[in-house]
Amino acid sequence: MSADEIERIYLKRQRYWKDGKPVVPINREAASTPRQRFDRKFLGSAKLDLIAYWNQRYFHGVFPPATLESDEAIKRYVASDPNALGYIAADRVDDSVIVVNRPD
Amino acid sequence: MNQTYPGVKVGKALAFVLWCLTTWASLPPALAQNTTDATKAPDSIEAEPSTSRPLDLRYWQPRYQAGRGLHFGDSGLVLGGYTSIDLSRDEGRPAEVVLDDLSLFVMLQGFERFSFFSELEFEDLIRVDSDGRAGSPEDRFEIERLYGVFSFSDQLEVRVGKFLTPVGRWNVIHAQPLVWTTSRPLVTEVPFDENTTGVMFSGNVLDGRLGYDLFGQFTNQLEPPPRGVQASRAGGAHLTLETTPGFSLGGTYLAFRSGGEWFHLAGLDALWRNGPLEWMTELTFDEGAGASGSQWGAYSQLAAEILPKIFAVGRYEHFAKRGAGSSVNQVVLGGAFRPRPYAVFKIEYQILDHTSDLTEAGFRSSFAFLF
Repeated sequence: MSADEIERIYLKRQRYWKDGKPVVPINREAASTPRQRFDRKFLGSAKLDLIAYWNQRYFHGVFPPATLESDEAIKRYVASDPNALGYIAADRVDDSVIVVNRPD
Repeated sequence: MNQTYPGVKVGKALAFVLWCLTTWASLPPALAQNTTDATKAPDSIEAEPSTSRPLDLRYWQPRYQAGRGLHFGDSGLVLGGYTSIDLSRDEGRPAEVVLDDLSLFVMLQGFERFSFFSELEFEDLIRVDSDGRAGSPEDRFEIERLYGVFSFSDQLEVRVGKFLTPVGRWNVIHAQPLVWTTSRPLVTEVPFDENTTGVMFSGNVLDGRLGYDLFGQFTNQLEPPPRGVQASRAGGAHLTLETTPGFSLGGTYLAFRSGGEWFHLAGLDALWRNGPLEWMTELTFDEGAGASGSQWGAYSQLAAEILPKIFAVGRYEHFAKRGAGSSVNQVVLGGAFRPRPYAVFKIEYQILDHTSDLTEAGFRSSFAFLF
């Protein structure tokens, strides 16, 4: 999966997989280090831009991705929902999930 | 108070109470004396999934997040909105404080292919001026938006109901917490009806870089506006192309019937964001098919973050209304302070090259927030 596609999914500009099923992106909480690293790496926007972006989407009834507060919770959720997408530390990956992008 | 405006109603009083409650709910934790974790990052305002089930009481358990509404558990029901209080002093007139907007969102989410959105708006709730008059001479309650969205794919969703007419950019994000100035460019409201009651097809292609809206109105407007253009039929399209990261270009065509005459409007818009800078512009030209003649206007606005959370804003606009001698040039200079992601204080001064019946020169300020 490309970084561009991940960006579109986490900004909810792409809301469906290619087979038509809805994507369920999961974030870490905003203050967490993994979240901040993810935003910098994949969303590429300044924090302020993201706030303005989600304020505008809220005005149209669209909300940011849901959040979970640990790698373990995200892994369990993604393992249980075939349409879910999340990010965790590389050393937490096991056979319960499929790795679709491994950033440098 | 030595005078009053007529018509203070119970509904407005209720709306004011609601406004007070939402204001209290949106205050910083220390002021509101609630238990929200004040150490959270300012943008940590997102919904979290839970594991409750429909027959479980937790399914409906309310969870409020400032700037993102009141979520009723996993039911998909969300209440939210925004409000604005304005302080202005047009040149040669008394200063005024106006509780100008109280908009309530009622949203239904959680379905795989369907969502519902409505915005109920109270306008001009309370007005107090420096001559001692108080009241609300132009108070109004209206259904600003009411629609269902059927989503088939990223390339096609269908919206049915009353929605914002997608001409340019400002009109579809016109809420005070989302825009940089208290005043609104003329070109974003004078030439067309801000709402359309009908059907809109939307989507994006080219990996999300090209977005489209194709819309039509085949019935009378649900609650037409009290003044300005009142479209009884309309059809049009808006395209947005993201050419490079941070820059997008848009184009609009709109045909509408108002007062028995058809009008044709064409528009261009652009948005550029780079670091602390944001530049936005819109241009429209429209012409009546009868004897009404044409009008056009354009604005260019630059906002820059000069200190953390503090912004300088400048805008120039030219608007030439139908009829000889009806053009005006205006400059707006101001600033904005965003203490929280969902709240903004704005001040500005508007300068005109001559007096106009379209707008007034003077000072404007506002405090607005999403709740």
